[in-house]
Parts: sequence; C-alpha cells; structure tokens
Amino acid sequence: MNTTAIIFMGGAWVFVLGLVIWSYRKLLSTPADEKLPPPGSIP
Amino acid sequence: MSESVPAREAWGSRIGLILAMAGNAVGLGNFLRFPRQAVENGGGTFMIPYFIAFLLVGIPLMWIEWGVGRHGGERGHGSMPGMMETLWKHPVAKYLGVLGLFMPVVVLIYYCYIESWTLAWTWASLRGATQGLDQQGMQAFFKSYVDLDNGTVHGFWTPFAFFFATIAVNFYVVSKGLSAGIERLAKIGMPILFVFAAILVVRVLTLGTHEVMIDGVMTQSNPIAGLNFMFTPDWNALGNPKVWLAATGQIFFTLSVGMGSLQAYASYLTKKDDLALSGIATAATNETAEVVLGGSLAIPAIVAFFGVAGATAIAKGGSFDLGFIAMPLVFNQLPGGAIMSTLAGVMWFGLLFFAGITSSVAMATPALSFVEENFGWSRKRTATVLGGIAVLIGILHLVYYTQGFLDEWDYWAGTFGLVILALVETVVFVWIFGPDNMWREIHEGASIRIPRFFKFIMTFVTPVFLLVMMVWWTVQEAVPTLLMENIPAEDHAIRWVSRGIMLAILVFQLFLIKAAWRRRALAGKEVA
Repeated sequence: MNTTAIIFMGGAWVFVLGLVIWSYRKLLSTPADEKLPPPGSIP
Repeated sequence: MSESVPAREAWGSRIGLILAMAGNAVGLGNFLRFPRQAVENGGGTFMIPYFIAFLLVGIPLMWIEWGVGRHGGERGHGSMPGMMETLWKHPVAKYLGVLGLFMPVVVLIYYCYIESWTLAWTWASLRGATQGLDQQGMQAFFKSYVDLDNGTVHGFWTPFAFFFATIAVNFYVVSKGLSAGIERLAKIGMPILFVFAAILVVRVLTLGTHEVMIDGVMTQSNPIAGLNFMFTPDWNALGNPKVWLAATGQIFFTLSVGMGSLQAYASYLTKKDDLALSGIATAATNETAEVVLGGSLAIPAIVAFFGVAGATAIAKGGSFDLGFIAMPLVFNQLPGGAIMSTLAGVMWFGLLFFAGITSSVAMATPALSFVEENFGWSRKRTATVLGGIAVLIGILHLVYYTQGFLDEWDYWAGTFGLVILALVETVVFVWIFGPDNMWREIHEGASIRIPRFFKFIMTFVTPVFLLVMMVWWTVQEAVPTLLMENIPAEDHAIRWVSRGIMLAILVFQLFLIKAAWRRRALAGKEVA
C-alpha cells in the first residue's frame, strides 16, 4: 500500500473512530439527568 | 407547551435512541454506495470534500433535524406538517411539511423492495443457490429475479413472496410501538450488523494474494491493492465541482437527512434530553459503519479476485452489481469451500438486511405518527393500512422495475427531494424561527456545548451549500431526467405513470393535511 493511501485511509479511520470513541465515552460518563445550563444563563 | 398536548411514547433508553437513530442512518448505501462513490470520485481525495461536507452540512443538519423534531414533538407533532407550523406561524408552513411525509412514504415503498432482495439473497446463500455460478450465471440469477418475464432461475412469485415478507416484518415492528418495536429492533439489529461486518472485514483483509487474469495477462492481486485503489488520492479531483457535490450527496444519503424520519424519531424526546452529543454519536456511528467497515469490504474483496480493472468495471455497473453479483462471486472463491461461501453470503446479505430494515422502519414512522395524531387511529390499524398500501403500490415496482419505474421514485423522492426538504427546513428553523431560538433549542438539555462557530455555519454556510447543491442538481440532472434524455422511448409511458402515481401520493397527502387541520379546528384544538 502506498504512503499517501495509508495517510488518507489512516486519517479517515482516526477521525471517525476518534469521534465515535469520544462521543460514546462522553455519553456514558454523563448521567442522563446532568445537563448544562441553557446558553446565555451564565454571565 | 399547550395543556391539550396528549402524552406521547418515549424512548426506553439513551443508548436505544442512539442505536435507533444510527440504524436509521446506516443503510444499504453505507456498504454499496459509498465505496463506489469513493472509487469514482478521486479515491483518497474524495475523503477531503467528504469530511468537509460532513462538518459543514452533515452534522449541522443532524442537529437541525433533531431540534425541529423535538420542538414539534413537545407540541404534540410527530411529523413535519405540524413541526413546520410550530416553527413558522404561517398558513403555508404545514403544507411545506408535506415533503416530510411524502419522501419517507415514497422511499419506504421502493426501499422495502430492495430490502427484500437482501432477504432473498440471504435465503439463496443458505440454500447454496449461488454456489458454483460464474459471472454470467450470477448475472442471470440477478436478472431473472428483477425481470419477472425472465423466469429462467426464479419462479414468478418468488420476488413477490420476499417483498410481502419484508413489508410484513417492517410493519409488524412499527405496529409494536417505539420502545417495544423500533428500539428493540435497533438493539438487536445494530450489534448483529456490526459483528457481521467486522468478521467479514477481517476475512477480506486477510485474503492474501491471488492470480487474476487482466486483459489476457495473468497478474497478482490482493485486498491491500483494493485499499490502495480506494484511498490513493487523485489531486486533480479536488478541483472538480462534481467531486464536491458527489461527496456532499453521499453525506446526505448516508446520514438520512432531508427525509423526515430523523425528525419523527426526535419528536419523542423532551427538553430534558440531550441533542447535541447524541447527534454527534449517531453521526459518528454511521461514519464508522461507512468509512471503516463499508470502505474495507466490497472494493478490497473484489479487487483481490478481479483486480483493479475488474473492480472498476463492476463499480461502473452500479451499486447493485457490486452487492448482488460481484460479492457472491467473491464468496464462491473464498478458501473453505461451500461452508465458508454460505457463511460469508449469510453475513453479507444479513448485514444488508439489518442495515435496510433499521432504516425502513424509520421511514414508516412519520406517516404513522401523522395519522395516529391527527385522525385518532391506533398504531396497529395505521400500520396495517399503510402496510397494505405499500404492498399494493410496491407491486408496481416489482412488475415494472426493468422499465425504470423505481428509478423515477429514487431520483425525485430519494435524491432530489431530500435536498429540497433539507433546504426548506433549514430556512424555516434557522432563519424564520431565528438563529438564537435555533441555538437555544439545540442546547436545551445538552450534555455538551457546541462550539459557537457552528451557529455561523448553520446560519449561513449550510443553507448556501444546500442551495448550490440544489441549483447544480437541477441544471445537471433534474432537467435531463425530467425530459427523459437517454431513456428508451418504449419506457417513457411507464415512467410517466410512475411520476403520476408519485404526484397522486403528494396531492393525497396535501389533502390529508388540510383535512387534519380542519378536524383540529372543529375539535377546537389549539396548535401550539
């Protein structure tokens, strides 16, 4: 496999897998009832 | 919220919601359309506009549709006509929402037919019916199935049986309701889909090198050459607007935005529920299925056995050739003989079936919600009637498939219509409802704060992207398609009938909206 193909495939995989891992970790670590205050409510 | 809003169903769990939303997004296109688009549009270079479109159109539309859906659901509306009216107090708003009823119903009917192929091919794999077939044999197997006049392989009623079974399963699931039907299906179907796809990816990538005959010369090929073929950048493609539009189009189809089904699912959320993070998790799940799994399956497998030239020729034949002709040929050549061929076939078509059904049940939801909420029908009764209509109209797709009956629906509702709905809802939610209200709505109950520059993107960049796409498609494709350029004259009549039926569905739905609002007015219901 050539270097540029590896870079493009690797980049695409890292991006989507990174996004999926980050979002699921965040979802699992945030209790469903723990919410941020509405925008603009914090001075 | 109005006090007259009746209690609505709710998702059983957060993970169930995300799996159902991701199930809606992950469809046949992730495994069949994406690899073909990437190969035809610059290989690795395709990933640049693809991810830019993901960030500028895909994710913003995801948030917009979740926001539109929850906002409407909180006011008792599970489909687009009511949702649009809650955002824009104008008599025309509810009629614009017809797009969110029309598209999912039309796409659902022909999508179930394609979905029924996956069921038929799973059964064929189990029986070993495709084992030992060469390329001509596999093409004949496919042609005999879709061309009812060509009963050389399949019996006349076989496609009907699988179509009826697919419709029955779909409407049985939706008749069970949100949590017991759709959510349960997603919790079972999505893990199976990912496990089957992961097993197949490992098998494909460990295939090793094979002798391949290309232009009469024996050469060697392997799946890594397929990954090379898919991801090697063609820098010239970056300057081609067609590549950018193909990438944006792929993002559109893959995330199932512009359809009306995401909004229907989101309508069962409350202000306490998170949209921002859940929207990203859903999109990321879909992208994993598409880029990591979909990108490592069909093309590498086909290149391993047919070489790059063979894969290019197959890809040009279309997504169905890729999935229903080339892949079974690959499975026939796997080491391990008949058992391995059967297993791979069942897993491949099984994963396509689960990808399909988790999307089609989502398409049924807006129409079901509309009838239930506006005419007081039970879910079971609505599902039965809608299923019956889908069967009756769907039969036309089976009978006239080879004359392009389905192609008309796929283009006008399943392709062009999506951009129109996305543009309309973006303008209404962002510009008419207001950017500040939109931003506040998306952040209600949010687990994360969305970076503020996305507000600018959603207000200006996303609508412009959509507008450019719509204008381009109108000039490049819609006009020639409307005029039936390059369509054999003998098929024109059937295609016009196909368009006429679509138009009749649209008019009927507009009439239903009018009737529903008259009924509401008579009942003295307040539209919040």
